[in-house]
Amino acid sequence: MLVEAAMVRNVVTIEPGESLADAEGVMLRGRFRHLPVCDADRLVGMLSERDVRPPHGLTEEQRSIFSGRSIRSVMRSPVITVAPDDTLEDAARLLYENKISAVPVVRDGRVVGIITSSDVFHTYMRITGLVDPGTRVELGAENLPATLEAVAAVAREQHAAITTILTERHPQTGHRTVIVRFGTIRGPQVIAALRSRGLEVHTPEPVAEG
Amino acid sequence: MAACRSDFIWSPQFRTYDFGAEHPMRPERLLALHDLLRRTGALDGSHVRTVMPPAAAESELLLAHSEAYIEAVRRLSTGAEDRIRAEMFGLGEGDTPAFAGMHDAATLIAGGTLTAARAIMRGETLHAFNPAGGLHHAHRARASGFCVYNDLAVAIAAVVQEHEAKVLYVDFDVHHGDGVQAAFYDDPRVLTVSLHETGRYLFPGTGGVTELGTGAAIGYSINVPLAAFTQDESWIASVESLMPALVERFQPDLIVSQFGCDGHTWDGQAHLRLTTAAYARAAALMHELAHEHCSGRWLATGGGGYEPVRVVPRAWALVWAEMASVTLPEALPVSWITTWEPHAYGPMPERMVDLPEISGTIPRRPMIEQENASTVARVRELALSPQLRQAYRPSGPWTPSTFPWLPTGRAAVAETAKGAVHLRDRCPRSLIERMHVAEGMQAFSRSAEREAAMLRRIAERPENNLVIAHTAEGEIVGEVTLAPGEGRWLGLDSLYEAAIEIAPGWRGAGLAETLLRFTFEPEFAERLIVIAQGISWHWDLEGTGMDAWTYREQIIKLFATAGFEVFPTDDPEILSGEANVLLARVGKEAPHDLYDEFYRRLHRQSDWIGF
Repeated sequence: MLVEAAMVRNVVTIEPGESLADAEGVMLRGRFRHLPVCDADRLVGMLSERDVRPPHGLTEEQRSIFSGRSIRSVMRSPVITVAPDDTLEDAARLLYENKISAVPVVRDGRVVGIITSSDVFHTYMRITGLVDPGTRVELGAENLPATLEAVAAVAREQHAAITTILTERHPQTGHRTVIVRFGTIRGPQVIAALRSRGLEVHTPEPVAEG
Repeated sequence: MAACRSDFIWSPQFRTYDFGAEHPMRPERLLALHDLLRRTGALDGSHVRTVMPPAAAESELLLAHSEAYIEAVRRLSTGAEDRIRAEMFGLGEGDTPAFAGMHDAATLIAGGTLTAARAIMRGETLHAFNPAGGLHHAHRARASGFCVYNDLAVAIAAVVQEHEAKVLYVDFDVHHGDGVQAAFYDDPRVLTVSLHETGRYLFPGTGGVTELGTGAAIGYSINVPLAAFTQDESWIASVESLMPALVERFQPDLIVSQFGCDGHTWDGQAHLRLTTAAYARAAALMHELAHEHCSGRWLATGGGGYEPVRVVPRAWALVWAEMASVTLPEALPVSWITTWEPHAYGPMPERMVDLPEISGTIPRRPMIEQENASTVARVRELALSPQLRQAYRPSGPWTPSTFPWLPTGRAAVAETAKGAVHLRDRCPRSLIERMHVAEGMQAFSRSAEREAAMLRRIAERPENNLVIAHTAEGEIVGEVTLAPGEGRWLGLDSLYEAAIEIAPGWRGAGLAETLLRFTFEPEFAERLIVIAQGISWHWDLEGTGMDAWTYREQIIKLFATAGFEVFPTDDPEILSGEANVLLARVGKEAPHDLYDEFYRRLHRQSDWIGF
């Protein structure tokens, strides 16, 4: 999945010569917290909500001095950016490692979008299949190719769509599991079919576990 | 309890909702139920009617489904081959495959639940049961989990639109009631409660305790995911620990309960271990709560149930017997057993109410019970404790502080010279989506379609208050919007801007005045300052024979009825037209500092905070 698919287009930007009061107004009106600063289409800086909001306890006069400053004097520059054809994983790592919550998406020096940690988070939620109705099945998978083959065969014969497949190796035990979400209410039939092919399906048991 | 008037919704055509011989949802389950009720005399009695419902009209289906989806169902019902369309709308091979006649069969079921709900709301009957209904997985534009049209969402939406009613929906099916929850997720007029087996191992995977609703409706979706292998005692304890408190707080006008019985221990589609006794107990509680809190208005439907002969007929006969106060025999009629035995998936039961032994011994029982108890405790805390609920609330003057607990929107019926209209405030997006805008209502948007889109956008933000007047048929004929002030008014808490529009066909009937009065009726309005800008180029002077100055006087007079006065200002937008005017309503309890700031900003040469 590429950044392009998850980013917000139609980004509102602001010019470096405008005041912090202007920037705060734009953010309040548009209900966002990050504002790329562009000089004649070229990205020159980044502003976040806390850069523009006057600190508490200022007098009216001090507030007016604070908010009257130009954006150029407080914006962050140079800017961390991603490209629209970077992978979503790249964007996630960039946000996480730099402890930032939004990054402009830039192609040929021009801002074409913005991606926030919440966009990335939502996309990952979608990838786990959390938002589609389905039956979640957890399988032990010491032989991953064989497991996937069996999963595919069962999906075909049961007319049960595969919504998502995730696989992970347990960080302590080293055991590999596969989590498949089948887009079907007929979970018990699918599970029975998986078992009949010798797969180890983790389901709740009436007796105590382990 | 004396026997109450009860409608049994039945049509021989219910059997046509049939996905084919290999499919787990068997139409025989309904026939076996009907036969059992007939043989036990449960449908006799002067207080009982058997009602044959009409199919739902397309306009009624549109209350819960998109036009494109209905069109797809219709096309695929003729046997048309259209793989891509079928897949797109959830009607491909798999759970809910298209079949010939599907549209008619599903429309009849929706008509059944709708007919039942209307009969109850009109007072023609007190209770009603539609065993074919309960298709709770159908979504707005997607069939899912054996459900094509969501009869429950159609019926509830119709009740909410046609009456000043709050509806409690309770879902006992083993699967999460995701379709109904989604239909009313932003609407505090409908409280949805679903008890189900946890989605960890079961379709549809949703229904966690933190799915609470959205916007002004946070706290109006309640989910109780129970552990696999839960037995009667723990299930009943969960129901009894939550339902009375929720009903008491919500004070519904109608209770709708879905009695999917696939949580029964013999049902192969899930892992709960219930018996028919659990459903009988849940029905008794619903019956009691309906009489205690909503004058007995109670609608029940069927739902999931995949032991077509051994479980479904008995579970639903018990629901009906509770509703209609019929006494069923302890032992099943022998003639019934022999008739239906060939369709059974195992040895036939002999008793109506199962003995607890049939659910077997579960070694993990104490752990399961503890797990469920802690889930219920968590739900109680989220749903019933005001502090915690507020943590999930978006903030803003229209939300927590100005509203008491459970801030459902208000509703009223007003008689005008052009007929009766329903008034509602704090309309959520889903409600607006189900209605249409009257022709000519486009002063702010220049087309009816864009007007509807604009209203949806306004409705979806919890900081706004959208007040509408609509007909019982769902036509919006007037609206007042209240939104936080913009431009020079930006950032002032408790300062709102009002705008009003009345459809051309409804002008001159006193509706504008009625709508404004209704809007500013609540006490919290006195804590706000509300402005209204009269900008002459928005005015629809055509056909009024008025010039802008006369119209201006009319507007001032109209807003004066709701306490607005004219305030002079240097706002360039107001100054740009001679007839323009700024009106404001300063609430009697508006804070002094708010008034001072408002007064200061009336005269500001520059547009923003004025540096």
